[in-house]
Amino acid sequence: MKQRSMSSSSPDPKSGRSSLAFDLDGTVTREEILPAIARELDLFDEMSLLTDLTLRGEISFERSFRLRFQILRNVPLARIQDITGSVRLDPDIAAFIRAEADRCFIVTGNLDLWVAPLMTVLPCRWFCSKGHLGPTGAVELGEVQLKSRAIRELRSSGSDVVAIGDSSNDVPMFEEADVGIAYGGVHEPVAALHEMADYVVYDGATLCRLLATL
Amino acid sequence: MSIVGHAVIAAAGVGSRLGHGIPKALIDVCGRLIIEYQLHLLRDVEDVRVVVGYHERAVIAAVRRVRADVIFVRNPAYRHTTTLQSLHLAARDLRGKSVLILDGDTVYGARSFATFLETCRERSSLVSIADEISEDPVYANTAEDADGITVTGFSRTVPSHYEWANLALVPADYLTNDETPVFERLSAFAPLPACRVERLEVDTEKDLAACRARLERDPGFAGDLP
Repeated sequence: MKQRSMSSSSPDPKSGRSSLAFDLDGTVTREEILPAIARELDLFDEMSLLTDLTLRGEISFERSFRLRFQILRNVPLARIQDITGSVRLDPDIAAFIRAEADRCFIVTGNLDLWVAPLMTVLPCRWFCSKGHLGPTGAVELGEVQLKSRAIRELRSSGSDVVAIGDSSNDVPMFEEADVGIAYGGVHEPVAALHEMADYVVYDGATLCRLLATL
Repeated sequence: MSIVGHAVIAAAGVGSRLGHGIPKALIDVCGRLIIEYQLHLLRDVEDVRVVVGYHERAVIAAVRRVRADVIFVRNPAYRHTTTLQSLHLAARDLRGKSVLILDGDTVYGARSFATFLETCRERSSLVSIADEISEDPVYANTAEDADGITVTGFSRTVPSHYEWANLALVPADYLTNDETPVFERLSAFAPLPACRVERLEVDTEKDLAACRARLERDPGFAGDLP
């Protein structure tokens, strides 16, 4: 974590105007998106194996995402978007993002084409992995979004960045952010993230109450 | 809407004088933890923040059993920081607001606590004093007039009939990142309006025994917990 100034004698002119970087899965959404897709398509075991390996740190997030992409790449895009579009969002967090869209950002490794239905519901800027339709109409994977890079970009614009997340792949985001909030609305935040956090909160409304002061 | 919008419980410290190997907020007094009594008194306050450090997981779990909407503020440097610094971490983003601050090691009398909260109405600051003097007192030097009691300063050396009672409503800006004790910091803003409270501070084994005896004698002292 970049240390925020502890000095209280100099008023912070940016107070109340930090950029807020939200993890998507299990933070803004009430369930993880890729496992939800896999369950629908009967590919849950394959996907779980990859998720476990990633959580244990045995493969990198980027490699894991490329493999998960391979599992799902032949599924028609419309089918995936149907499933993504029906993923439940935390109502308080979603309302907050809509109300303060100018300083809210979704930071996810997920593919832009797959999560497109959620972008219309949460109209803020998104940092996603990039996909495009190939000549045969199949989705092809471009650049994988590293969460740390998104935070660096936000910080380079001069504002403090508050990162909000729940799992191991949010650790790089916390490393670059000025403030970290471990969110336990869906499940207990992973220990590594908890230990880097400035705040820990357990429900969406409470998170929004905190964010309103940051 | 409660009179007080924001409350911070400082529960990060080690409680070394008591030496139970647990944070003082988790000490059981007649079947309830100290922090449960405090959360009960704060039940109408919307924004409750608990600063955690020593055995933070256990403190978080205990608080969550009572209410789900608490903001936990982490102070991983709890071994080397003061209570004032813990309070600063929780209140630094509440500029312009007043914050109720309390120490995680004190059981407050429910009736006097309610009076204290009521007295906070239309005020930005109010400090608590008690007329039971502890073994290691922080005296509250006071002046009294038609408007009530005012604290003119806190001191370890100048005796008084009143003691600092570890509870106050203060503008968030008072809570600086300094290594001074809270009472010393508050002294800088004296004179401050004061309100008497009944409190049982748990610093020593003797305090704890006295606290338990009081609650056995008067089970409703700290409030009617569900």
